[in-house]
Amino acid sequence: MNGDSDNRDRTALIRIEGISKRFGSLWANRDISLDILEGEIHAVVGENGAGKSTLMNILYGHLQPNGGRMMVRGKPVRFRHPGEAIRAGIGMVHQQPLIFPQLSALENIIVGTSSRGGPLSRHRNARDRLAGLCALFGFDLPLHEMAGDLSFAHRQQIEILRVLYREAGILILDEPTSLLAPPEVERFLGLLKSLRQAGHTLLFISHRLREVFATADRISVLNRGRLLQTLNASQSTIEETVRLIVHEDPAAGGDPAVSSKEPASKGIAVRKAGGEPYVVLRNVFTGASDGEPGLIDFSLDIREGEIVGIGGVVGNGQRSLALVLAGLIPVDRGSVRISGIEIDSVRREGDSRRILERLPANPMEEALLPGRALWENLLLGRQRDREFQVRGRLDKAEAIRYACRLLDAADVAYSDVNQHVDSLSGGNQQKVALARVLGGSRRFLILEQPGRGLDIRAQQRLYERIRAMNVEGVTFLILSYDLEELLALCHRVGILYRGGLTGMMEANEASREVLGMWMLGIAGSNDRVVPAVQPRL
Amino acid sequence: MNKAGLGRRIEGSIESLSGLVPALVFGFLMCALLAVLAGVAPVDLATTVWTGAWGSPDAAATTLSKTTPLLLTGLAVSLAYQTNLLNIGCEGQLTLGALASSAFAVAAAPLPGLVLIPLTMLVGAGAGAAWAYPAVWLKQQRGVHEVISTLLMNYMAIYLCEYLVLGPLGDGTAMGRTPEIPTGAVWPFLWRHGAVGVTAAPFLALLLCIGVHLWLSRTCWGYEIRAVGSSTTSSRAAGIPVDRWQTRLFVLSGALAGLAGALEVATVHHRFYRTFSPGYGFDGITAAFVVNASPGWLWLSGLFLASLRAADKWLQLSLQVTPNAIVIIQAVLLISVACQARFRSAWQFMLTRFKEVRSGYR
Repeated sequence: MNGDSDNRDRTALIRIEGISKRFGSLWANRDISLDILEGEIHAVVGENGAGKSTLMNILYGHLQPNGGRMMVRGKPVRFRHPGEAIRAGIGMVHQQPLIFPQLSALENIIVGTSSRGGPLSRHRNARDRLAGLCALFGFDLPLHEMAGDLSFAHRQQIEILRVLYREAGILILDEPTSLLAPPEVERFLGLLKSLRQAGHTLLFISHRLREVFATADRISVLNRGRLLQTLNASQSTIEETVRLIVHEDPAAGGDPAVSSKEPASKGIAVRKAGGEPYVVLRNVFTGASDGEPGLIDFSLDIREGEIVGIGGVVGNGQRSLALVLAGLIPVDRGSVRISGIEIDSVRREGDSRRILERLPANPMEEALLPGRALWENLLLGRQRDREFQVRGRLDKAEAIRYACRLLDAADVAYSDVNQHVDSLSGGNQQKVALARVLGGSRRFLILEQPGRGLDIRAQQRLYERIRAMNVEGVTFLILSYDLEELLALCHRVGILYRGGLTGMMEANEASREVLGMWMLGIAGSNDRVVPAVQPRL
Repeated sequence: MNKAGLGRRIEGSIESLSGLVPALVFGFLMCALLAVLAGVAPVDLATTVWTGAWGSPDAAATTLSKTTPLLLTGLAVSLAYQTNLLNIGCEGQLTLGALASSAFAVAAAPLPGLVLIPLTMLVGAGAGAAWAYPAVWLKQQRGVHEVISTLLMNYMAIYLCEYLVLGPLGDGTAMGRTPEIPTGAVWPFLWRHGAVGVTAAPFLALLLCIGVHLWLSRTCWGYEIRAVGSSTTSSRAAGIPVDRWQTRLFVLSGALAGLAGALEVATVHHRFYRTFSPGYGFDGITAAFVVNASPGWLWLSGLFLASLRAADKWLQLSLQVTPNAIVIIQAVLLISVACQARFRSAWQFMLTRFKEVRSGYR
């Protein structure tokens, strides 16, 4: 399906033939054959668990295929570990930049490369070469600052320079734009094009089709481990691609819940008029948490039955906001009240969970129980409920029934409720964490990055569920780096910048440009700004 | 439960043992290899240990009495490990528990046995618990790693006991021992044969292990403890009192080690000796981890290690092998078990391969 005749005459830089990979009984990749052409931008798209990451990890030597073969520049290769892939000129830019926070940006880039000359001349040579690369691609990376102090965009530049510095001709990028602010995304897409101009070949995974179509030459659609089709971007449309991504086996029956519309279609969120302020934050200051700034003079009202979204670039205080509301870090100054209860007093009682539930941004570390069965993960927080215990004895059968109900409602792909949660794919782990948070009976939910790792279909189901719960009266605070997600879901959207709220807008009249500027700390007066706090009557 | 569910359960339990069993088999093979290198037939080694430990009623009684402290210190280590804490300090807690209980029994001699025996046990357990508490307090309040603090507190306890037993609590001799405890504090034999016999202690220890196993696996508290052991952050966010559980289990762990010491005094030595413990506290670590710190299986490792301990002099007598060989056997087994993740992945690889071959793939 892939070899269009006009592409045949261009050289295939990487040829993948019949690659298969299975994990247990699951085929992650099945008989994939694909040519990556020299100097193209090749996007790989697909649902969660479609096999994108597996294929990239095979290319980069992290995983070994069960069958099939690969050729680079016509020569058959077999990578046993990433070192061999690097030697063959393949580099990988990870979604979460892997940095040494205590080392300078320069040292982060050259770490692991062989040195010529003494340590001093080595640094000087490296600096000269990197300065050249920075100038060539328009990077503004301060090479001598400690990496831990740098912004996310700069850390990503470190990752990219690391690959370029090793003279990799082929770059694999795993969801590179998912944590960038919109103006940074524009710059990043420009960078991809200039890399192509400089003769590099790029392979990138993305869930954001608009970005894919803005840059890619060809698009490969994976579906349940198989390569469905490779499209020429210029001869295809977003609609067609979405249809392929969610394509079901005709035998299995179509899915009426999924339309082939753009995923970020505007949500019709219902809001109860004139709801009372349910969550009230007044001039709140907190300490920094985990390298993120704390809140600085932060005020916000959330009315009952409202969905409020807070966006911003990574590391601007979203975590502090979620933690202070959940009662996990102290309020230094100001006041936080939820449903009339002062949060500091809740904290003393040790259970803010009676009024709210929170989905953290990294569920595996903060919400799930690694190494424990699925049913134990779903029970967490409800183990003392009367329905699950008889005089201290845990009713395991009931807990398992409850877990199955939640897992099915959340569309989790699992084979056994006794299997460990860490044996699921990333997207499914996110679904498990969501299942537990949404399955409770709390009236106020804080969701950090709810759509992270979910594919288009799962995201849409999630958004529908949130809206349905909202109609029932549940109040939401959604923290996300993804502006589209916030605009699709929320009534009001605000932006956090360095611990303070830059401004708020009604989602249905919000301007992406202004929100994008706010994310970078460029405040401008705008007539669409709405107050974050209800005026006193 | 239907047939498919049962099959899956069996597969699940095979899965959970898939690292441990091959690791133990490998460990035993290594021990056999070492025996060959030392010029001993592995079969002779095994039969010597077996007859040395269980060959006669006397030997069996001795072995059983050695099982008690191993079960209890093994349980102590396992219990703390459920919440991801390592109690390396059982030796100190055991020594202190033994001294405290024997000093108490001597002082409270007039009490009737029915009161004196349980009180002596309580005092021993209390002393062990009190010696464990500072470590968990330091961990929670000051971030001191419990392995370091409990390890060092061992030496503090041992030397403190040595000072006390040579001074204020001693029997006036330079032997480093307390006066004998009153007969009312001594556990009676259920069955006796000459000078040796069997008390209720090993059975009590076994009951404790089973009780703890049921408590952990069946109750809502046990669930919370497992959750804490899996992730303290997630548990805390879910409203589980993480610090409280860690404190409780750690103190309980110290109490069990102290109880082991008190039982040694009340059933074996009838007084505290400076050197009464051949390292039961440290052996508890081996006993616990040879069965993956699961209290339901401790009886197996407890009996095995006690057999080794009971048979050590027979190695010298009939095989001319140094008794230290049992330390080597323990060490080899422990190292093999520590490598079980490796064995598990190898097992899974073979299993997938087998299934592939069976389903006709390639």
